[in-house]
Amino acid sequence: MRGDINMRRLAFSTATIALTTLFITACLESYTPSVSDSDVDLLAVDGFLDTSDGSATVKLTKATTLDNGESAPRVQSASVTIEGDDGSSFDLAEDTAGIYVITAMPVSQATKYRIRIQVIKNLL
Amino acid sequence: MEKIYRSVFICVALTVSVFHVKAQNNTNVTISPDSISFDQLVTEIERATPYRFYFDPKLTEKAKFSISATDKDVVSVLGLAFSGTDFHFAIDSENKIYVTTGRDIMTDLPVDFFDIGAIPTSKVQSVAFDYTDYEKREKQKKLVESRLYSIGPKTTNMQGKGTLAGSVRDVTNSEPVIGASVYVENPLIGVATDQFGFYSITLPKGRHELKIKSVGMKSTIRQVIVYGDGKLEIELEQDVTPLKEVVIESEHDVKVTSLKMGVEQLDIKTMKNMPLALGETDIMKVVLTLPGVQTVGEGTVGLNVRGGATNQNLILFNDAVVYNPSHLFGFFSTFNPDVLKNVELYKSGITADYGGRLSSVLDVTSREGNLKKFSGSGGISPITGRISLEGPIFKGKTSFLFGARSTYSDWILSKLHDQNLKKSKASFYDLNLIITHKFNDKNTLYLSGYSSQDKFKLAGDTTYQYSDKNASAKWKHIFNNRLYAVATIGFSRYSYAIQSKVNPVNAFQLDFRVQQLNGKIDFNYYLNPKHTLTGGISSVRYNLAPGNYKPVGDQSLVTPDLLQHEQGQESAIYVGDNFEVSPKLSLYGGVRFSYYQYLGARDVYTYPPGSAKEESVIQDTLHYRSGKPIATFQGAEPRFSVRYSVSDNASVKLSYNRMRQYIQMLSNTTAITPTDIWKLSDNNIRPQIGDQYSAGFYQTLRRSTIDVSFEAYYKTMQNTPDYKNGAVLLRNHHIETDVVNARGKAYGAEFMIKKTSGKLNGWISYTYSRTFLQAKSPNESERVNDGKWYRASYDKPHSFNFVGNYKFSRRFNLSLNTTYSTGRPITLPLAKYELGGSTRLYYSDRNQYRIPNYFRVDASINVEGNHKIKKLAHSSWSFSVYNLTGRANAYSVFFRSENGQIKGYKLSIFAQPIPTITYNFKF
Repeated sequence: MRGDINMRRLAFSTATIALTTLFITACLESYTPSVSDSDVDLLAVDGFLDTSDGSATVKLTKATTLDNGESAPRVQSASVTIEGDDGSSFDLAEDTAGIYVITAMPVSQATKYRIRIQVIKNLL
Repeated sequence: MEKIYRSVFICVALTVSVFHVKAQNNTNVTISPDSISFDQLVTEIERATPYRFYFDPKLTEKAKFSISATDKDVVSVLGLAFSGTDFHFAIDSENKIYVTTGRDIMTDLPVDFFDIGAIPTSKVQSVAFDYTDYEKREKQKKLVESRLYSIGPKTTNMQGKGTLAGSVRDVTNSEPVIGASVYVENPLIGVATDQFGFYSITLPKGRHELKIKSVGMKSTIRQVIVYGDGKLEIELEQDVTPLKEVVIESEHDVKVTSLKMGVEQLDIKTMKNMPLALGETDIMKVVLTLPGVQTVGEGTVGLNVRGGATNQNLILFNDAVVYNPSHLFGFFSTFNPDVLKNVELYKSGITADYGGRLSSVLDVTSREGNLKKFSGSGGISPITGRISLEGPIFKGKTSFLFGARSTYSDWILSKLHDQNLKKSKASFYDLNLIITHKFNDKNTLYLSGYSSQDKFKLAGDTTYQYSDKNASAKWKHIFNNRLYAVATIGFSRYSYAIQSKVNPVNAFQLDFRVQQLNGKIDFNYYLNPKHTLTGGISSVRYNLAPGNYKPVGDQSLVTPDLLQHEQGQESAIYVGDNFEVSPKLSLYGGVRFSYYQYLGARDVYTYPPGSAKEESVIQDTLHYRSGKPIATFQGAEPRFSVRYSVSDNASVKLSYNRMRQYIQMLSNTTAITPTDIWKLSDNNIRPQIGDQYSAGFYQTLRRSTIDVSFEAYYKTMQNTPDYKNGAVLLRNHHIETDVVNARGKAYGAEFMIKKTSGKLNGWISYTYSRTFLQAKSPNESERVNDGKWYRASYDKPHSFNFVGNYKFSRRFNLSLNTTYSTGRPITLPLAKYELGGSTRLYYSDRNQYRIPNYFRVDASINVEGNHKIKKLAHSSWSFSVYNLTGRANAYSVFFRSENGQIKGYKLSIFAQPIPTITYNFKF
């Protein structure tokens, strides 16, 4: 009788071990994909042109890696220019670090504008 | 005792012969009247010649013959008289003529006759096995092999041909043997048995030695003399590990000589030798070790065959479609190994009788149940228990096979101390019932039913539940030796429900259901030895309930949301011809024409032509009444294959096939939820079309013990669905706005060496395969990776498999299984950036990166109980270790935001070796 009980307990513990291994062997590890630096070497341009008063603000930041807890680094000393297809061109001045502004720019509804940004390589 | 029997028999034989020693030399006879009764014929012959007749008067009293013969010998007179009747005669050396119906009798005793005669004296024999069952069967086998069977009514006209048909069955349980070769060597004429074990072979009239061979069965021969059309039933013995090593030799190997290419056939015996992950033979895991078959992740049973998506496989169980072949997150497959008989996977060279899916057909058939005696088998492993029972209901006519499987994991989970595990639930069960009834030689009915249910809940949160039900009825009618037909009706239903009650305020349940009713009739006509024709019609009615979202409980504030039902009808007609041009060259040509309609009742949206399908641009909502066609698609699906034998043991094969698919699974998740959406082709989502060209070279080496094969393929796919970024598939009323229309191309090469017999057997395979998709559109939102070709999410270029078994002795066998494959592609978040004051993620191109490569080794040892014949139950133990090296293979890779950081995680399901013990029994 005693042996019988022991056998049962043994069988149960075997089953328990197998099932728990099924659930417990599942394992979560942190994973950092091998991403090349060139994929992260990105410039983020966050800009806005207000056609009512002719003001424009462009914020230049650098994209960061995923594990970076800090806020995105600003890109300073860049030259930022708004160019119209009518040949007009307006330079934006760096106001605070990484934020480039212009006020009272004469905006024409008939003109298409584009932005030209030049950054200093080693600062990026 | 043996000696006494022998002398008594000889005495009797002598006494009988003494009475007829009347020497007369005249053996010729003249019969004048045109019509003569049997008795008159006998009197006439006995009067004129020394011959004496032996017959059963009951069988002959009404027989009349119309012959006229002048001074002819008795043999030709009887030949004339009996031609076209069921009578046979045999003449022995003592001028006795034995007249029988149905079959000949032998007038000479076979060499072993007296040994057989000694069997009844078993009581006297000791229990020692100097006369084992095995040897007894060997003797009986010799007896049937040396006997001469005459086919068709006896005739003297030996010009022309006769067709011999019948079935090949297993002698122990009358199960049909599929794919057995039935052939004569001179001239070389051969056929293979079909899925019913049926064969039909047309031979020149005269005497032949018919050879019958099949994998895992003992080869046998039959001596036949063909007078005309007739039947011959053949029983084969299983090739159980005998005391003496038996070398299976087949000069004409099935893979080399058969027309089929890209077809892998596995019988359950091969599969049962493989290492077991969780204590059970799993056919889906075995299929995954074959070249050209891959899976996206561990613990999923979705198959990717030659660059096809997981939904492009037609999975059939006894002719009923299986929508979800997995249990418990995919750790088990839905097929109970104890009821299975045979699995066939078509990767290319798909014949015209199959249709409806693009990349492959996985045809799973069950056994029919033991027709001879009641038996059962089962197994107990730490997670599941299973049992199957079978036997005759009416002996020789009706058999049944019942199988059940269940888990006791819920109970074990509840006993655990870990709180999360205690609240978890994971269980499934499945039931099989198969009934086969043989009305007569010409009519057989096969009934098959399957039902399963899965339920799981992780850490007390959402409950997932799904259920698969299918049934089929098949009636086979043999018109004659050359023509038979099979009518089938089938029903399949797959449904799931997701329920969450943790928070009573938003407690909900979401139901999904897809079901189909199908009917078909297939004909098989052995026109002549060169042509076998097939043809048939089929129709499938689909009915989908793509979503019913409803509140659960009184407090729930969830708004009910019911998605409209979908209906569709897919019909097809096909013909095919297997043309054996010469023993070296054979061709298959077939065409299937399919016609599909998407049917009302339904409201459908229309979008401006040329513009992207967005919710914001919906132009109109059209209502269609019930049964009214909303969209119609049709087209031909040609199929060709060619086999050319370069030599006796090498062949080259080519094939082309086009497939159309009218129902697709939409899934953009790699998570372990069964929440995939099935969607019928409609006015916005077009049916998929696939073309495949493939070529292969096959060779057998070392007396057919080693098969070498090399296959290459190129495939194109049209209208393959892929998804927009951030697509939502569940509870989507206009799913076309989240789906993009892609086209695909896939190519690859597969190499396999297989050793089928001997102490060491198994296979090694290597596959190189690539799959690319392209979504081009004038609209930016409907393009993926800017319209360039990109890797499909299941593109895994390199894959290597090794499966090996080593038999140490009759009782111990070790098996090892190794798998390596390239990690599957993944779209990764690469960087963070700020826009409008918030942090956003910058993603890579679709599927630009890959998760780590996959590698796993499993091993198992099977120990058979002793092989005593008289035992209550035969049992075996299996000890196995899954993932022997404990490598943490990635099941999924995901990212989440923690304290402003985006952290990547890799989830591995089996990150440690998993040992399992299973006890199997058979009675």
